[in-house]
Amino acid sequence: MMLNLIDKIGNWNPQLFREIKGRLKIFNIVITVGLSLLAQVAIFLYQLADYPGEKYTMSGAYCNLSKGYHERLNVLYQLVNQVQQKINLYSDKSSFDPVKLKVFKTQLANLQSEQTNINRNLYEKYCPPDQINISLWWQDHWKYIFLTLSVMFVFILLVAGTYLLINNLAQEERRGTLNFLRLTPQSEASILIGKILGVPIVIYLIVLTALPLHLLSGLSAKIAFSHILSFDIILVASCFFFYSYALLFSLISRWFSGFQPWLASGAVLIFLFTTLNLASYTSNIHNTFTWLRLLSPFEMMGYLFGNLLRSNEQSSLDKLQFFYLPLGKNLVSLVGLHLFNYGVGIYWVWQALQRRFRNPNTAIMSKHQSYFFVGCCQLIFWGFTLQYSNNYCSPYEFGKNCYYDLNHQIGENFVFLVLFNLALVFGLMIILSPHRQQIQDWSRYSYHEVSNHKLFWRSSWLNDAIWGEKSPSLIAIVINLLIIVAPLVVWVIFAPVLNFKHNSAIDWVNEIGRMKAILGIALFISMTMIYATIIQTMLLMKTPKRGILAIGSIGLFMFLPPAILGLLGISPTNYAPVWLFSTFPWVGIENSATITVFMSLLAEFIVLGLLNLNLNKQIKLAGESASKALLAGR
Amino acid sequence: MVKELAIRTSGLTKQFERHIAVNDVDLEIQIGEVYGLIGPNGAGKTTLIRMLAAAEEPTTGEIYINGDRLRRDKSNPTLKRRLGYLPDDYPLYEDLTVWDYLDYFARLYRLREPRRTQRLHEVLELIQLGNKRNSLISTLSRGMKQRLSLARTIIHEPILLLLDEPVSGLDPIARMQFREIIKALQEAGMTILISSHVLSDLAELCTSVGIMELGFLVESASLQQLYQRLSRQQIILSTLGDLDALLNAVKHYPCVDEWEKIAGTNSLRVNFSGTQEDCAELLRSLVTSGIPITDFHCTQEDLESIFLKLGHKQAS
Repeated sequence: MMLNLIDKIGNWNPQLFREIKGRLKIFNIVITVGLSLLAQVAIFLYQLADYPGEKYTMSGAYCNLSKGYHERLNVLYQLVNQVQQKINLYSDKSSFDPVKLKVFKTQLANLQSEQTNINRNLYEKYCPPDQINISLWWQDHWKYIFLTLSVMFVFILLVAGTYLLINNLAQEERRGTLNFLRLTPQSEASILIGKILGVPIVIYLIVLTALPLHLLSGLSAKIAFSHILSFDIILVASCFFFYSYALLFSLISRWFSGFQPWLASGAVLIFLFTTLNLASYTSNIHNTFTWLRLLSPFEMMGYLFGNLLRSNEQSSLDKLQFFYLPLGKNLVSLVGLHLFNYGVGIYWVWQALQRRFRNPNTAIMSKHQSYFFVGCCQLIFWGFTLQYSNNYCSPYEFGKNCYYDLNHQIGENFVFLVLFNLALVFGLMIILSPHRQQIQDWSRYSYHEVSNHKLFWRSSWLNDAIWGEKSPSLIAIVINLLIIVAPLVVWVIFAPVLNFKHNSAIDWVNEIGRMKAILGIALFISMTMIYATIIQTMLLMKTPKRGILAIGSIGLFMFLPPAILGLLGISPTNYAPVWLFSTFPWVGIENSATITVFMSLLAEFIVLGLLNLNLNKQIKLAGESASKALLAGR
Repeated sequence: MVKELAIRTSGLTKQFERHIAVNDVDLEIQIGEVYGLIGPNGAGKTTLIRMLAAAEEPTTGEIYINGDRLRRDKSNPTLKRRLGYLPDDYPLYEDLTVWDYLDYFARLYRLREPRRTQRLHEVLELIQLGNKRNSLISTLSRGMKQRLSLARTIIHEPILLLLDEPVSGLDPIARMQFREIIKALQEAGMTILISSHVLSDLAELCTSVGIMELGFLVESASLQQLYQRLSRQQIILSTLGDLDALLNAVKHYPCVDEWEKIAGTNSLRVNFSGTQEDCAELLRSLVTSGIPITDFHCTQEDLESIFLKLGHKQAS
């Protein structure tokens, strides 16, 4: 029957069939199932070590008497305090009364002796067996087992699964076996899904073996089945998300060679630890950053089994909104939003995977796709930015009279929006800029072909720059930047209208002045274009390490000058023009005159123009024929 | 009616940096041919084959397989089912058995039962690995692995086989076995493009030959044409008596153009431009003049000499 099943799987997905044949050998299955069972027994026994037996102290949480004793102790503390106050009162010279003093002192002694007795009972005596609440003990310890297993599932599946997948695919790519798969009539999706389902199959086996205990412990801990199911759905989605990115990583990072799987699974491990901490201790989810937090299954775990992960605080995920839609209110819509967040990531990574798997030399995203991708990212960023909460409190009435203020909300999230988009643009520059070989082909063959049609030259050239596969990336970067800044510009323009309560939320925009704010955005665009031009020029270098060199130097260009300015104490207040030329021009805008900002923008345009002239020359040079170069003595 | 071509390329070019690996190649291969691609290392043979197998993207130019345009960006499942490509390093999966490996690829190429099992048996018989079907691939010898790779290449019954240096690194017996398989495949009607350094292998197998040099396809013709055009008839003569007497008798004969003594033997090699009748006449005249002839046979110049004559440097 087993063979029959594998045969059926093979007809459905040959790649999965191959992975099963290569991995699920009897020895492996026995070892894996054995290890999983052993781990489950260990977890169970570890919890059982706490089982309240004959020597369970009276103070233990599961002794029924403990509650009564503690209540009595609390009453006694209060009484002792009262009596002590009375003694102090009658010891005082003004109201000295030896008779009352004696009475109270006797009372105090009695109370203290009762206290000592209770404490002795609580901490030195054992709880009578019939007073131990065994069912509560089991319920709590099932919860611990459930939680331990859940956390272990997340770590094992995501970290080890990522490692195995990258290791496998990178190895196939290195040895050249992947080429045969590319040549078969199977679709990319079929082969890669086969990989995702098949390569970590040993890990799936470990988890599947532990699944009955997971379910049993969850139900025994009185956790709703719908919650367990929701967690499982999110876990499966997160696996698919992380595994898809792992596959993409292994296809694009050949230059790391044997280091790839360690690097990626290490990164996943750090991400999981960070988000586990965030989910446990940070409850503010009304910001842009939330999309990143929602990529980790721990956030949902905190919400579903909240009192397990947090000792006293409930998850705030139920207040989560997306474009003001209160999707956190309801479990189904919350799971839906979570899946949507994963879904957007999964959709784009599969677009990239399909391109890259078919042709390992192509960029992971076409220019055409990048526009939609950037649009999608803005949708996600702004969706989580626009959440309703009483975020603005009047500075004069501390903690009172709080209300929702859109300007304040966007202002607070401005840093997140800028950082995420900066990372996005940085990534796009690397992804979209074609390397030397492609530029050469484009310049030598397509560009010249296009130039021959003089009549349509202009439109063809522009078309090629916006949509073409091998053309330089600059125009596409400009379009993407415009998509990114469009919502920000709209906000800058409408901010004063939105400030109907006349509060101080947009004082900083007012101080800068809207004209200058828009000029600042233009400065940001021109600066980014300069970076993009430098990257494109560097990718024309002959050295095979040009990719790493370009990424490294642009990283330095972007982040080193602001860091040095910061370290040297060159503050934006006194040296604003210097900051205008950095990656974060808006820091210097406030203290510069409009004309200075305008002149800086002009200066940047001139630099950009010169760099582009140089780039154009180099592209033409790369495209000229070998014989022409030979004759020219190059 | 023009016969349909198995492969046609027009202006096929591949450029790496300044180096043009394949330069404006117009290749035409008829259906059913065994086409040998010869050329020194770095001539662009592998790049050309990789482009034909859709494993490499041409910088410019077009490829047509049986009249259909081959594109890399599309999945093209029907076209891919017609192609079988064996690269020169033939990597395999060492953790699978011979049967599982072939079964896996048969499934990838969407072969369904009962045809799949039948095909697997056919292929295993052809490559003579039937007795090794349950062995792990890691335990096979190099020659066996090579044959297994070929089996993987033909499992889906492609109509066009692209073999890149298939016999390099094999011992003579393995080579012979491989040649037999190729012959069987040709008889089955496949069109085969095979690149090799070993010219004698190609001479036995091929019906047409193409010569590549510095990225250009400098010669492409049927073997018959090539022999007719460039190969001369030679006669090997041996005598028991004086070799010089034989030489004197031969060199005045009208159809004899050049001659050379074969070192270490009492034999002559003569380039002969006459017909079969002239050849018989020469033998008769030598016998009647009393020279004790022990050997007299006509041969053709081999592919290697033709290749050298064309002014190409043979690499192997």
